[in-house]
Amino acid sequence: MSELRWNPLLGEWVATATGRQDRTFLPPDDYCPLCPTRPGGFPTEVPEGDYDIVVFENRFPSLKSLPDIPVVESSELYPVLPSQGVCEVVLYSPNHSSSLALEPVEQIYKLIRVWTDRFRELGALDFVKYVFIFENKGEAIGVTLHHPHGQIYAYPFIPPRIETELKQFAAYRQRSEKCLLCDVLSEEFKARRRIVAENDSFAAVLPFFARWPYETHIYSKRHFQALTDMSEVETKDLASILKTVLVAFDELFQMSFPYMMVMHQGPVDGLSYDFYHFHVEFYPPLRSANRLKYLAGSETGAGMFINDTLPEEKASELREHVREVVWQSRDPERNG
Amino acid sequence: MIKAPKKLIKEQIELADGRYLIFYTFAPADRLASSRRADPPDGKEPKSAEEN
Repeated sequence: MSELRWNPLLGEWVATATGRQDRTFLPPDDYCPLCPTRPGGFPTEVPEGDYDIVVFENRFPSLKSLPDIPVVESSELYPVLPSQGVCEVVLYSPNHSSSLALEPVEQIYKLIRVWTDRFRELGALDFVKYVFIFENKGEAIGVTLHHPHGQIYAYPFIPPRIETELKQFAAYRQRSEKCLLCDVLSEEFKARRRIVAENDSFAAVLPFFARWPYETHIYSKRHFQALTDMSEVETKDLASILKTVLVAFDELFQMSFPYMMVMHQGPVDGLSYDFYHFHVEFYPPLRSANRLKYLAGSETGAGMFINDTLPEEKASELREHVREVVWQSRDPERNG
Repeated sequence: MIKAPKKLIKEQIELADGRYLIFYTFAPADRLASSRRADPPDGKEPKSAEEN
């Protein structure tokens, strides 16, 4: 059973999805449902012995293209809607013990091509207003499956954090006739202290206003709104800077670094959002090698984050682990 | 630097419970798994995503 319930206090939707209570929880490696189905092995989600990148509809979705009928009635105070949307799982690699950081940059490039295709296809659905690409990585974040994968939610509304950003971008454009993120990037290049890495098309920045100690954003240098606006060179450069940031994260504490990665793109509701600016945000929950940053009273109840660290210092730490990206493939023959 | 794979090919199948699953493969096209156990539900040949 699932439905969307309106929270009149905050003016936002909450999804109920009771079917998710029974989802697979940290199965042994031999019974990973995201691995290929091996000959004689148990059937996984993927009915093949190998794959490159796979996308499928989540078995335990919070949004469905043919949604359930809500179990409660809608009222003026408490509007209720069917939870119509799409929840997809994206498998990055058939290798169970891999991660996006460990995959060669060519695989990340391929993944971006897949994300772009999913953005285009899901964004064309008439009930979808926002396509949200994200990854939760690590038990610290609450992942229930370790196999390298991400997710895509196609929402029937613009989610609240994106809506807040859109309002800020629109107001800034109206005030200054400029793009807010273009100006942020310009400010960061003047200061340089919070820039972690850059290439011709993107910059990785630990933002001035970071809420998490190692929060890192990737900003496109050119002003555009979505993956579908990127050139071939920009696609390669995005793959390269993602690899750079992911490797730096893993090297920081010599561990597979947990994070939430989210992609902020323009909505797909048919309106123009040319004032918006594409970016990727990472929220790693660690504040040191063995300590988590918890979302406690102030963060959760008041919405004010307290960052125990200085972004300038954390950017410097991450910069020490930036390595040159060598273009490599999973196919040894392609590496020459 | 080696050249990035050019062609993106997608092959969609329907799982037993009605959900879709899409195999994404990249050129060279002959690396497409030719032994898929399930055919695309519409019986069409897989096509390049950019052509959709």
